[in-house]
Parts: sequence; structure tokens; C-alpha cells
Amino acid sequence: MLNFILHRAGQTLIVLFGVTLIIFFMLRVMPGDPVALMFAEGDDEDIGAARAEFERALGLDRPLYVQYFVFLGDILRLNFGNSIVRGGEPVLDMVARALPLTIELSIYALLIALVIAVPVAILSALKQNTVWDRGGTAFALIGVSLPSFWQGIMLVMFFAVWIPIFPVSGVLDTRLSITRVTGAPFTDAVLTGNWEAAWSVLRHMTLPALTLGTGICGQFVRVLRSSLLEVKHQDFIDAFRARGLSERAVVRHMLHNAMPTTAVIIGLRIGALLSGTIVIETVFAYPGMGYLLIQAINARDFPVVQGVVVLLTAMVIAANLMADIIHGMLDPRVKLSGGRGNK
Amino acid sequence: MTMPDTSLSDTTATSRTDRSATPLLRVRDLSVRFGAVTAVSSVSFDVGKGEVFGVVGESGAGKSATARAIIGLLPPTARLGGSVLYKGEELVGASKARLRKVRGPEIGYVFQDALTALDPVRTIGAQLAEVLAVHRRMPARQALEVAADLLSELKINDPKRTLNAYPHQLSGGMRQRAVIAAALIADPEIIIADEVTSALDVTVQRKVLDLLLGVCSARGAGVIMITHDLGVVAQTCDRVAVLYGGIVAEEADVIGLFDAPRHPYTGALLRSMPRMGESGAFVPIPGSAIQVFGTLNTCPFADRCERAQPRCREALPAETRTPGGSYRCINPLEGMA
Repeated sequence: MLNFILHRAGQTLIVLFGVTLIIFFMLRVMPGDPVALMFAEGDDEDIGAARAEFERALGLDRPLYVQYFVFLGDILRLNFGNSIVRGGEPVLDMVARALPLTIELSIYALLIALVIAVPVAILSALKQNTVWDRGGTAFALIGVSLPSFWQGIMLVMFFAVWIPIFPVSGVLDTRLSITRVTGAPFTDAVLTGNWEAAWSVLRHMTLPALTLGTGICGQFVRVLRSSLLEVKHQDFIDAFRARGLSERAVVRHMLHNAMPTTAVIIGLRIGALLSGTIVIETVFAYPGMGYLLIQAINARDFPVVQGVVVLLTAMVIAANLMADIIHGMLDPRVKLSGGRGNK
Repeated sequence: MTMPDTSLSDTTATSRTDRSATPLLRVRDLSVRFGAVTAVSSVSFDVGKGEVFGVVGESGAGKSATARAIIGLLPPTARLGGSVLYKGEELVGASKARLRKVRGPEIGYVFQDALTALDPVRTIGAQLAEVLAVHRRMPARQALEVAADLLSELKINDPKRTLNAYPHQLSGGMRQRAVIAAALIADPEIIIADEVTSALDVTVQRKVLDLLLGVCSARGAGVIMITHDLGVVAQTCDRVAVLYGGIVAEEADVIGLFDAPRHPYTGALLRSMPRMGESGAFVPIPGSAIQVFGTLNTCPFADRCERAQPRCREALPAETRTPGGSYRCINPLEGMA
């Protein structure tokens, strides 16, 4: 187990290093730079001197490789720097504000996906090659293939504009407020017993969560269905029946057997979920990590973009690691080990 | 062993001898079809209390289909015909709820491959206790004690440790004993042992068989020993039915069958197997096993039979009763008796 974790930690460092390299140089290659955006070039005044001073203050006048190593050194000391644009607010503060929102939204989306996917997959697998199965598979295919930005806009049109049951954007009705405890709005509202605000947050999160959820839901259906089908034809399923177990109990054991694989897929889809939030949060103006990232990219706010990307990457890696550990716990045959070969 | 058979419905039954007045299990004219394929055409036999009854045949002869049909454990696409009477109660067409109550406490089923017949993600103990929880509503702690006793009866040295183990942590022989335990734990009166030793190393086959039969006879349970191995039959069974092409080619007590086979298929089987004290080549049976489509209206063995006559292909030979059993052949072997 320790060996496994050390091995994975090594891999994680390599991935993170690669990500810093890519994001740093991508930002520099991208047209437009933060200082130019701030100074709105073409103004009457000669701003050359002021501009040069600003660039020096931000360290943008130094050679690129020097800038990169400074950035890398800062990251290693867990110093993510300050925003260039927003009055020099520390990146970590901005992340601390946005991250809980994204986590809540992702969990909500994950729950929606599971609540839909589990019954659909069971029905599909048990009634293989029937109308139920075809319907389930078609549903999964549609879920996977719908572009989320389009689906988000459609949902807004239907359920926020035509039939206004859900709010269009934001996290909370403006007249309400939540006492901050953890930073996650729904959790805080529940913790402080502010049920009205909790309900409002839930309503605000429903459309984005539904959009995110249906996408990953389709994948869950496919994975769970195929692992159920694999289990379904095993001898031990018939052996359960031969011991007089009820069909319900048999299905329960089938699910237990299908769970490890599905848990791994869920863990691997956390990455997709987070990248989904980038689009969805923008569509719904939901001020989470994705929204923060897009805004920072538009403003060429280098430290914020770099910080958010590195942190998101770390989260995805952590989620994958968790998935593997959970897999090991759910399936007694899996032994977690480092290095090559034996698994 | 000489009480008269009380069967009235069976028209071909004459003065048949049987082990008990009402056999525990009476299979009559059982048939199993999967679409156009007929896995079992017509199988009849009785199993008495405490008897070890062998069902022997090549793969595709309908052994497993017969065994599974007895407890209704066939896919929904299977069409069953005939009758399976357990203690006088009809099981063919019985409700699912009734069949569930039969499976386990009345008829136990030991699966062939012990590795795949156990749930890989749960401990042996959990799987054994579950059976008692379902049928006896027994609390887990007590069920585990019963399971531990049964495992030590099956000569497992450290039952507690085995109960806490997952199937993949056990050796093949241990796993097979766990599977036997799962079939026996609810105290069934009949055990169906489906090729129990085929997946085992030869060195442990005999041991597992002895354990199975020992525990069954200690409990007075009947055994239906399904196998392709005539050696197993000779070692373990009281009586035996030889299946071919979904019919009982011949049924006899074991000694009679080995000494004086009547059906040419039985004779061919015996000649194709090594016997003690004989030298020289075994004689293989020419051709390969038959697959039956639709209704069987010929002797299924006719194409491979050296004694075949034109009449053999005209109809399925009727059952001919013998003192110890029956055979379906119009030109039977006589010489060896």
C-alpha cells in the first residue's frame, strides 16, 4: 500500500510538472498580454514608460525561461502568487472562494447522474436485448453525445425562460445571504439552518448540475450495464439461485460485483466533470472554478490561470488515486502495489 | 431393495423393483428444448432416499440440462416438458417462490467449477451464512457457527480462517469443499453434484468425492452424481443412467452395467475406457456426439452404432424393462452377461 502511494506520488509530480510547462508557455504564446489589455494601447498619451515599469513590477520583462523557473519555484513553495488584474488579490483566496462552489455543483451533478444511471443500467442489463435495454442504451448515447453548452442553453430556455421554475444564473437570490462557514453555499446554509437560502441554492444549482449530470450519466449507464452483463452470466449468479436466493438478492450481489469497475470509472470521470464545469459555469454565470478560469483567461491574468489549472490538475489526480484505492477496497482480488508487473 | 414400485401412470413399467415405495425424486419423460435444439428428449429415473444415482454421458448428452431442469434453473428461453416429482410434488411449472424454497433446503446443487461458482467479492462465510439467513432466518453469528461445523466435517483444518477468506485465497480443493458446503448447509435431502471433480486435480478428486459422499450419507441425503467419468460412477454410485442424445440409453445398477451392458452405447463407452488388468488399445467410438433438433424419432446412437439396423432409424426405441433397470435398444447386447 505504502509502495503504491509512493509510486503514484512520483507519477503525480511528473504530471504536474508537465502541466506547469504546458500552461505556462501556452499562456505566453496566446495573442494578447495582460499589460496591453490594461493599458488599452492606442491611447493619446505616451505610456511607454509607465508600461515598462508595470511590466518590470510583474516580472514580465525578464526572459521567459527565467519567468518559468520563478513560477516553478513559487509553486513548489505553494505560493500561487497574486492576481495581476484584480487589485493583486492572492490567487489562493480567489480559489478558496470558487472551489467550494464547484465541489458542491460537482457532487450534485454526480448524484443526479447516479440516481438516473443506476436504475437505467440495471433495467437495461436485466432485460438485455428488449425494448427496455434499447431505450436505456439510446438514452445513454444521447446523454454522452449532447454538447453540454447547447444542452445548458436549452435547459435555460425551457425551465428558466418559458416555464420559469428555475433561476437563470448565479448561486443565490440577491435578497438572501448566507453566513460563511465552509464557503460552500449549500452546506453553509444547511449548517446555519437557513433553509430558505439552502432551497434557493439548490434551485440555482439544479440546471447546471442537470446539464453536467446527464453527460456523465450516459457514461455511467454504459459502464454499469456492461459490467452487470459480464457478471450476469457468471456461474455464481446461477449458484445463488440454486441456493434459493430471491431475484432481488441476486441483483444486489450482481451490483456488488459490478461496483468496483464502476467506481473506477466514476473516479476517472471526475476529470471530465471538472472540465465540464468550465463550460457550464460560464453558461450559468456560476462563480466557481470554471468561471474563475475563463474570466482569468479573458483578462490574461497569468497567475490566476496558472494557479487554477495546476490546482485542478492536482484534484483530478487525487480523484483518480481515490478511485484506485476504493477499487482495492471493494474488490478483494485487487492488491494495490507500486512498480511494474503485478497488479 | 425389493419393494414393489407403485407407479401406475408409467405404461411401460411392469414389475419394476425399486428401493422405496415412493422415491424421493421421480423424473418422468423430462424434456428440455432451447428453440429448435432439443437438449433433453425424454429422461426418466427415480432417486431414492440416501441413494447415489449416477448420470453419465458425453458432453451434449443432456446431463446438465437434466440436472438444472430438476430445480428449474434454466434460462427463460428453455421449454420444459414431462414431470419432476419431489416427494410427490410436481416441480415442472411450479411457481418461482415454491422453487426457491426447494432450492437449498430440499435439493442442493453443487456446481462444476468451484472458482466461478463462488462470489469473488464476498467471503466464504458470508456466502454460507446467507443461505441459512434466507431459508432459516438464522442470525449471522449462529449461521457462521453452523458453517464452521460443516467445514470441519468436510475436513477443513481451520474453518474460522476459511470462513474469513475470499474464494481467490483458497486452493482448488478448498474452494470445491466450500461449494459443497454451500449446497449442503441448508440440509437438503438430495444433492445434485454436477461434474464436481472435473475441474480438480486428479490427486484431490477422490478425496473430494469421498468427503461429499461421506457427508451426504451421514445425513441420509440422496446424491445425483452427474459425470462423464465412468471411473467416478464405478467408485461412487449405486445405480446409473447412461444418457445419450437426450434420452436414457440404459439404466441399471452399477455392477450390472459394468458386467453386462445392454445398450450398444454403454458397451462402446466401456470399451473406450481403460480397465484394470486389461492391456491393448482402447476402442474409441466412431463419429461424434449427436445434437438433436426438433422431435427425436430415431435412435440417437444409430449413426455411430455397429449393431444398427434399418429399423433403428424408424422410431425412437421403446424402453425395455430389465430386472435392474431399463434400456432403449431393439438390438441389445447379450453376450457379456
